[in-house]
Amino acid sequence: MLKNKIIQLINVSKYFEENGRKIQILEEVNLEIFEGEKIAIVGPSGSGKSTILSLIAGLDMPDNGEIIVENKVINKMGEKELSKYRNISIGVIFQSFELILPFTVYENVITPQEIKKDINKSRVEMLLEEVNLKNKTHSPVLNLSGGEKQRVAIARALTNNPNIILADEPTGSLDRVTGSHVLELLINLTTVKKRTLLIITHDEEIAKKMDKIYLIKDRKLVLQSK
Amino acid sequence: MILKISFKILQKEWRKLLLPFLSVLLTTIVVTTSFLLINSAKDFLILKNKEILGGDISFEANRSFELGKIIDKSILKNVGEQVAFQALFTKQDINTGVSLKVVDENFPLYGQIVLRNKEYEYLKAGEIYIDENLEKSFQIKKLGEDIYFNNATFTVKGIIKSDPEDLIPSFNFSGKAVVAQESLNYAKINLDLFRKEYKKNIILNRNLSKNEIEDIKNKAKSVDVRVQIDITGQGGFGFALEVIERFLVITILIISVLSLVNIYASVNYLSIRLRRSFAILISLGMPIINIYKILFIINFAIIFISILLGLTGSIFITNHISQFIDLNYKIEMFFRINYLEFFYIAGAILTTSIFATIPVINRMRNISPKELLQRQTEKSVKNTFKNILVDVFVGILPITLLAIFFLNSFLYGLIAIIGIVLVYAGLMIFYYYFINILYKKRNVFNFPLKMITSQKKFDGFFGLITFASLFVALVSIYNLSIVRTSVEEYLKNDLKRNLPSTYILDIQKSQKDKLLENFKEITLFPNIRARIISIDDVDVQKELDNKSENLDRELGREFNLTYRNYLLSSEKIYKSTKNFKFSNMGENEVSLEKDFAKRVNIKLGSNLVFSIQGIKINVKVTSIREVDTRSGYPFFYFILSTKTLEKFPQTFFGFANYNEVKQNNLKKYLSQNVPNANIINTKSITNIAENLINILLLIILIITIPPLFLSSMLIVTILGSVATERKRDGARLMALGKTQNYVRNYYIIESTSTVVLASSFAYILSVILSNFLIIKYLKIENIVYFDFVSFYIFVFILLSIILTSITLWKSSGRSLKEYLNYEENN
Repeated sequence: MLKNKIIQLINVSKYFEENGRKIQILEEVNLEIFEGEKIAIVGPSGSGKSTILSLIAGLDMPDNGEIIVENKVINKMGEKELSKYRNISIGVIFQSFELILPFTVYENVITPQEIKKDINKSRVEMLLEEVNLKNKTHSPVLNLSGGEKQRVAIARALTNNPNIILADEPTGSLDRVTGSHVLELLINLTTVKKRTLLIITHDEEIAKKMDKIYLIKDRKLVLQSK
Repeated sequence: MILKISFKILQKEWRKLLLPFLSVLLTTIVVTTSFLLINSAKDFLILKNKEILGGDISFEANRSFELGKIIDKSILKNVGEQVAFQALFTKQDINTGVSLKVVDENFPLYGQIVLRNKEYEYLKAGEIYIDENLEKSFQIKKLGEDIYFNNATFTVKGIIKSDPEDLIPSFNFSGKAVVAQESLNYAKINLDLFRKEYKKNIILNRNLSKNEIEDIKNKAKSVDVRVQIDITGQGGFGFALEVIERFLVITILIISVLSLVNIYASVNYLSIRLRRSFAILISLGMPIINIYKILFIINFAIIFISILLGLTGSIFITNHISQFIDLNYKIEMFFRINYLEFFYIAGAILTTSIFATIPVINRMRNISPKELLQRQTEKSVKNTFKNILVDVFVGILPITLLAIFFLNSFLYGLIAIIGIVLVYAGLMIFYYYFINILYKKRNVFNFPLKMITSQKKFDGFFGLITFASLFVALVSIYNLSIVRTSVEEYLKNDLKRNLPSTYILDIQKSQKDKLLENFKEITLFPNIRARIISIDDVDVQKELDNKSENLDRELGREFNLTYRNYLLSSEKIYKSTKNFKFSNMGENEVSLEKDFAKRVNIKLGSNLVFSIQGIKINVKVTSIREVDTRSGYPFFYFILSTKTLEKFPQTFFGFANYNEVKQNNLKKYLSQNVPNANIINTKSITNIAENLINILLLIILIITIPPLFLSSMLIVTILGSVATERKRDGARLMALGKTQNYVRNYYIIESTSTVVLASSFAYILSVILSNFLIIKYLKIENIVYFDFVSFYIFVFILLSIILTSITLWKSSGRSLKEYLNYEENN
């Protein structure tokens, strides 16, 4: 069965300003990701791979080109629509977790639902069980280990049942053993739930676990064979 | 190496240090300028006090006296001698009672007599200055006209517009005139024939100790001479000046507290902003002790530069304010730039700032680089008893020293600081439990409220300090505003209103009823002159002749008695015998004024014998009255029953609050029907009064602005540091699907709710505190529960927060991605 394109980047360019100079970080990047695919984008530090994720997540806007997610051009969305997109259509996992520190584990996971104004407590409880944090439900996130924090972030990314999970160096702040456990959990959950997963990483081992690997080279994306 | 890193951080991260730098800079400017202004205002008030008094010290008696018996002549710099008496001047068929002041060439020692259209100069024999009342009474058309006294001619050389000494409350209602000493011989005036007052004003060549002042007072008392060292406590303007002086003390205290809290907030903010840089250095292997050194150096550098610039700025500002006041208000406020004082202030601010880093450093102990990098500092530092002890003691030490320095009193400084610490502690405990209760109930709140509650709980000790500092800043603002409003109201209304526009003198009993028929608003008091023969069977005259120490010499003079069966609004019964009723005083009863009774040692229940025109009357003191001496209304030491005094010959005098038209009608009536009566228009006095009130109001305004500015700045610093903390949380919410508007509104709600909460408690405490200050310390009876200025300030602060929040979330132009990396990028 032919799968639908879920993410499309068409001739996307991005510039940054540094000391008044314009520096191009992405040059006419094109990318197609299909429903349920697991994609890795690899490349050296500063090559622009996190920028691609930020653009797809609607955290940043391209200077040229179009980003189409689930048939909608996200770089043409208004602020409200874009916020709704971030809340419902995608789940983002950051390297530095980006948990809301004053909240407990449970409160962090339920926050996207509260923003959506569609509370499903049993789903939160189920996700916490899946990420093996049931016993830490009401613990402040501040007291958790790095691996636990990233598992909270995974549960939070899945809480509104989005079709796309975007992960920016999800194991970057973790030691190798914890990192591989977290990664395994992430891959399993997205596979079971048939979600599309896009991982930004510089770790070849992680990339190898994905369906496709893209390399960012000279400001462009190049598909690598696995 | 440490120096190199410190300066590298200063150079590279100067943006982070901008807020504390500006904060300390402005604090220095405000504190120094305020200190200078307050000192100048105090100098001005002292001078005004001396002008009204006539000298540093003023001695008075109803006979001539030798200064050498009272004061060591070697400490006298200058002496001015005066004698004043009532004289009847004539011009053709006009006869008018004149309060004549005979002065020497040194008069006036302070201030100046303002004449209309000419400068005051010492007169020659046969020349006279008269006031505007006499000008009208004598129908003087131009200078150079003659008036007569004791068969001598006096040429009018000028019209007195104001004499500073007139502001002392007195009951000498005649028109005033000034002549030179030489005129006494010229007009062959035999002073023995007049009831006169000798006055010697002096300027000292050095300050006196308390013991020396006591010694002078005792010596003066022993030779029956009254002595006045300052005019405070005498009612009227003396009291007003005292009120302003005390207001300045309150302001100084508020400024010192605010500046210290401001410095603490700035240093705390600075350490928060640099935490990440420090974490990186620790992770690179730098020992924590070196981090302390770097923090100290950076702090010192910022504070040193800001103090240096601040002092320069304050010299500039003070000079400009001085010029502005001089140009627009013609008040020489004696602005002086005392570089030694500047040095002290700079030293105090610098020491305080350095001390302020100690609690911050103390709280940075035992922090691992990992915790720092994850921005978990606040939680990781345990609020051990030792930590809190270090914070409190190290923190309050410089505050105490600075308060002692500003207040110029060890006791005041200590009391003030203990009070502030207690308020801080109490409030922090309250806030801690309040937030804890809310946190436990957070699940029933909607999302923003739950977020705010969790955020406040998470803020921990920093949150407590922030709230307490905000509270102190708001209490300071509201307190100052309420006290200021009360003082302003008192100056504007009470003081002016209390000085009746018209006094009426020498009304005979037969003329009274008809006068009141035509002018119902006039309040008249009967006046019967009497001497005291004995007090509790002690013969007063005999004791005085024997120079007895047991009796006050004032008792030897003639007193004015009056009768009435009602109390004035300015009077209330302080003490009375059982079943006493003022409206029903018996024939043998007398009511005494409290201060006089205390002075001459007459007690409730004492028996007095008066002699009125040779007739003796026996009375018992059945009540002691408390009289508001600031009321401006005539009051009597002795009030007897109507039955007792009605039968004696008496004249009446009284007052009315008439406008110019009504006053002219009264004049016309009196000239036609009561030609013997005198009418005094107090306008010339009120003119001086209004001028002085305006100057005092200006002083209050100038003094109030800096602390208000300082408080506002403190609030911005506090909220600014919160804003930095909240930016990343805001970005997280946006990444999860909240809009930028929502996050901005959330921040506005969080900031405003904190300010509203702090404001509500601050206002309640301010009303209690300021009313205590107003009634007990300033001793004016203005109870203020609502103050519009405070309300405007509150609205201003709220609007500022809203505007700052909008600016913070709009103007940066950062993408959401950059917000998420905010800490890293900044």
